[in-house]
Amino acid sequence: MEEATLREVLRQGRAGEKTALADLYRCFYRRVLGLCRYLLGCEGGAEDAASEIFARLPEAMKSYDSALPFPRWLLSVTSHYCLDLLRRRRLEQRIFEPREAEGPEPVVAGPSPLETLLFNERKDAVRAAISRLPEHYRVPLVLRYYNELSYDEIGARLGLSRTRVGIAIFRSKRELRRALTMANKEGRQ
Amino acid sequence: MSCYSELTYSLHADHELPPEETRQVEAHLAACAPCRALVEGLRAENLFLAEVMQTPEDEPAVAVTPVQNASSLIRIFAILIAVSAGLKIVTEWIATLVPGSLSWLDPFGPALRWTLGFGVLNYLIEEGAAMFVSVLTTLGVLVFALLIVRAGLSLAQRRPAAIVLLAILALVLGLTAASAAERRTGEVVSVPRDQTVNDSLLAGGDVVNIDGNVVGNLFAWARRVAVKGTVKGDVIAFAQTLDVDGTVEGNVYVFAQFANIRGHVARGVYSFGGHVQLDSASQVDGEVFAASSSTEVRGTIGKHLSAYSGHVELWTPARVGGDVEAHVAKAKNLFVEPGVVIAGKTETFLPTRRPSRYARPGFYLMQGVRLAAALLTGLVLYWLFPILFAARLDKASSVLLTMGLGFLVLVAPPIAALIAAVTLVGLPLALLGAGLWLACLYVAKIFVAALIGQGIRRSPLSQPKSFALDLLIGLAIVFVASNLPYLGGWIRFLVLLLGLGLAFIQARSHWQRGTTAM
Repeated sequence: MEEATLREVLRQGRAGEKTALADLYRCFYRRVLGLCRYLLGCEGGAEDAASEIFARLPEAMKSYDSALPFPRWLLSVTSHYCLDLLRRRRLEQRIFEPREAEGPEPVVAGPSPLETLLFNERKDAVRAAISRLPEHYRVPLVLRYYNELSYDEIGARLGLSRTRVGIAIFRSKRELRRALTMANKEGRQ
Repeated sequence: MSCYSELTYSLHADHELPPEETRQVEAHLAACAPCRALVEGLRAENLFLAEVMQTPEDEPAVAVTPVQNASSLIRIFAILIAVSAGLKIVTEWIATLVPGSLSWLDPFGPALRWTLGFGVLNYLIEEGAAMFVSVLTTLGVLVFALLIVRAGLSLAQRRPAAIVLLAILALVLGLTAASAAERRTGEVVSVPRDQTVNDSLLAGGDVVNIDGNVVGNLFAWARRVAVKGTVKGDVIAFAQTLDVDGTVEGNVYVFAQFANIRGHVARGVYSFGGHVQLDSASQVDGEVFAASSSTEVRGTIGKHLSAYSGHVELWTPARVGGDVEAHVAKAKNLFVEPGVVIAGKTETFLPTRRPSRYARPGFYLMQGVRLAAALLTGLVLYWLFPILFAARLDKASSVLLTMGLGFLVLVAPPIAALIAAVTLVGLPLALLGAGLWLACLYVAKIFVAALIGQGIRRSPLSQPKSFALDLLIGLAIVFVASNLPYLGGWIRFLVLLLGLGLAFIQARSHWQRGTTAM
């Protein structure tokens, strides 16, 4: 959408006009849905979350200040909502099925980045691998490369120190490479 | 200085190291090529990750939309089929009402059938053929190109070498298609009196005049073909009018509305068309076969004359060296003028009313055998590809839609095969495709039978128990319905459409699921 039209649509949207909201939905739904998918992972519920975000949009837009570009703002709202959802899910999990304590990370010398990710041109395979990553790896990775947040911003959202964020991102990429190499091997067999 | 850890490099690639550390790392990178390569790789990886995540996925829902748009087209097809079926039923009904004396008015009667058929055909030849062919060629090339591009894209994602192969294949196909499509055009194609064509001649145009000699065969496609010279080989003509005034040393095969033979044909004349006339000056040394609305003979025929015609007339000075076989609707439609010389017998074959096939026990035996064969085929298919039988039709509209799709499946492969067969490379593909298509035609009714059987036996309480029993019940119903008098043919046709549509939908959805699962 053009800059000028977007501004006009946003103005109308804030006034609560249905057509403007529909325009926004058409324009941004897929990006919002994509982020929901990455953050919520393979457990699903991404469609529901995306619809919920758009349902709440008229209300949320009252707090939108035009300092931030609208797409960035919308994606930030989306990630907040999804993180909330994840937190709630974790809580339920803890109540109903107590998880075994997380052991130390297995130290595996992973394959180097060049040969796996870059030469893996099948983007959907990469997407699938991302959505299968465990949540504590997936969420920092998505916030970093989808929302393009800094380590500090990610840390603030997840309640982690900056160093922990760096380590989590480093490990999640290693995990992703490993998963993709495995997938490639399976594919070749 | 020793290398930093991979974690440090990861932070560095994300621009998240403190400034002091960044400087140290940069200094090391300047000196250490392997570490530099690693950081380059990490940066490229970051860019790639961002790109993968930020480009929206291809939604399957979006990919479905064109199909939904196409469904209106399919609906139109379905309506067309329904309308034509209705028309056919009405005309059949009218035909039963028309008294015998008015039968010449009946467009589907034997007398006018050829004339009408050739009238339509000639219209097509004159007005539509060029347009039709060019549209068809364009469409075919487009579809083919799209298929190749699509296949190439999906292959290239996995095997880059395949794209080279495909490119070569496309090039070869394109070249052969281009050379095969080369043809001579012109309003008038003529071979002048003093000219000799030392080979077979392929002539197409509005008028084809052969005044000179053709050493080989003559293939002519025109509104009017006139042979005044000599053709040493056969004449194969597709025309509104064919005039043979000269000499043909081979056979004459003619598909024409008017075929006039006034010259000499050293072998036989085989004519399919409206009116065949052998003039008093004509001499045919071989036999004459005519399937036409009228056959008129005044010349000399060396061997037999057999005619499947509305009217057969022999006038003096006609001479027939062999028998005369006339297959006519009524005995008086064969007219032989006194004075006509017939060396052999003269026989009139009237259409005999065959006893109803329902009265013969062999018919039921045959149907039983067919049913058993279909049942066996269905069970083997179910065993091999159970997914093909998973179709459900819930609404009447989806039945129509499926039938429309089935019609496309019925019509498109032969056209595609014909187009493919034009090229040398495509010929085996075309044959293979045609074989597969024929197999599908047979199998189609089995899908419908399975659907009917399961539909009948499915009740809210019971789970499907035996597929074989379902199929048997369904097949029995389909067989009985498609052998009903009058309606059977149409039921068979509709079942065929439905079955093809079902199979196509199932195969397609299975294939799609298969590719996304990979």
